[in-house]
Amino acid sequence: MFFKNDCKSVNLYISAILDGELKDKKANKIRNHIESCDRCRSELEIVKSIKPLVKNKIKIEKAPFYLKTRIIGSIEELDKEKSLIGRIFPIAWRPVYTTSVVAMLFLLVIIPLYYLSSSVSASPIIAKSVKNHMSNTITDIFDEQNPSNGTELERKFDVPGLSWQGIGSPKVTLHYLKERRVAYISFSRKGHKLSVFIFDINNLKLPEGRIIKQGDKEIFVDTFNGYNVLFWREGNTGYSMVSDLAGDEMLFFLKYGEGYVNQIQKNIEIGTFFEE
Amino acid sequence: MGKKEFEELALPHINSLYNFALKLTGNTGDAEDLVQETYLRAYKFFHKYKKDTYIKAWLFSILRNTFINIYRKKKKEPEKVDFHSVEQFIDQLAERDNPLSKDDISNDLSKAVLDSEIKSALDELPEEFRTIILLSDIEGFSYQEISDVIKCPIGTVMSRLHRGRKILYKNLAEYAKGKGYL
Repeated sequence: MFFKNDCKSVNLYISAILDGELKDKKANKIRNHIESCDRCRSELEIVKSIKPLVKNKIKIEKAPFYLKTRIIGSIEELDKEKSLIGRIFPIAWRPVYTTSVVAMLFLLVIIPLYYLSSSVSASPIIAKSVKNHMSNTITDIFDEQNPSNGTELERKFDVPGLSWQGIGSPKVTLHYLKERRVAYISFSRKGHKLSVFIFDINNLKLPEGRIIKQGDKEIFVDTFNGYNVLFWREGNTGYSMVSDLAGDEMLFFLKYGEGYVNQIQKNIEIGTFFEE
Repeated sequence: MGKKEFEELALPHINSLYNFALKLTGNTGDAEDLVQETYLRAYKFFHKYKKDTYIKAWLFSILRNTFINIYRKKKKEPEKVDFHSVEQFIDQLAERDNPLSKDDISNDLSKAVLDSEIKSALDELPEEFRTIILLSDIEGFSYQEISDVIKCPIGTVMSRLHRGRKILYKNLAEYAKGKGYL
C-alpha cells in the first residue's frame, strides 16, 4: 500500500510503467499510486510527452554508402595480416615466439607495474570494498597480507532521524573489526544497497584523476564491477562508499547523510554500539 | 565462425550503429571511424559472441566501450561517470520536493519546440543519460538489453532513463519559455 509520502519510491518506476517494463503486480501498485497522486501523475505526463519527441523528432542518420565497403576492406586487411604473421612465424616456431613475448612482457610491463602499484594503492581498497559490498561480509579491507584476528561484530540497528530518499530510519548493519578499526555500514532500500567503509588510511595516496570536489572534500570517483565507488579521506581515516545507485544519488546521500555516518562512527569509537 | 557469417550477421546493423556513433561523437568523421573500429573489434572477438543472442546489443556494447576507451581519452567527453554535471544534479535532486509540474505547460511541448532544439537538448545531456534514452527510445532496446550494453544493473537503467527524460523535459520547457510559448 502506497501513501502519498511514498512518491519518492514510486518516482523511479514511472518511466518503467510507460515502457511496459514492470510485472503486473508491481505495475498495478504503481498505477494505483499514480492515479491517486497528482504529483506522480504529472510526472508520468511529462515522460509521456518526451518519449515520442525523441522517437519521432530525432533524425535517424544513415551510414554513408562507402562506409560498408571501407569496413569490408579493413576486415580483409586484418585477415591478410594474420596470415602474414602465420608465414613469418611458422607453427614450429610459435611456442618459442610466445614464450619470449611473455618474458618480454613480464620485464617491460609487469615488473614496472608492480613498483607502480605500491604508490597507487587506493584501487585494491576499492576492489575490496566492492567485493565486500557484494558479499555482505567484511574481511580486512585495509591490508590483506596482515589479516586481523580481531573480533568481528555485527549489529543491526535503527538510526533515528536518518532519512534516505524519503525513507525514515533505514536499517543499518554495522560490521566492525575492533583491532583494525575497520567498519562497514550498509544501508539497503528497495533492492538498492549502499555501503560505507571506514578504515585507517595511514600513508595511502589517492590515485590521480577523477577527483571531484564537494564542499572542501576531494572525492575520488570510479566504477568497479558495475558499482559506483566514491573514495575520500579525512585525516587518517579513509572512507569508501559503494553502491549500485547512480553517482549523483550517492553524492546526494553523502551530502545529507554524512552527519549520521559521523555520528555512527563516533559511537563506534566510544564503543556505545557494542557495550553489551 | 567465419568472415562470411560475420558479415551476414553484423553488417545489417551498420545504420543503427552509425546513428548511435554520430550521437555519441557529434561529428561524421569520428562516427565513421568509431563504427569501423567497432566492426574490426567485433570481428576479432567474434569467437566470443554467443550464438543466437542479440547481436545488435553485442555490437552496441562494443561500440560504446570503444567510444569510452578511445574518444574519452581525447577529452571530447567527460570521465566515466559524468561527475561534471553532478553538482547540477544535486541541485535537481534537492528540487524533488518542488518538482516539475505539467500544469505550467499549457501548450503541447511538441508544438512549442523545434526539432533542432530537441536534438540540441539531447546532445547536451551527459552521455550516461543520452545513451540510455537513445537505446530505449530510438533503438527500442528493453531495459535488460540496455543493462547488457552499458554493463549496469537494471535499476540503474531505470533510474537514469527516468531522470534523463525529466532533465530533457526541463531543458525543452526552458527553450519553449524563452520563446514565450509557456
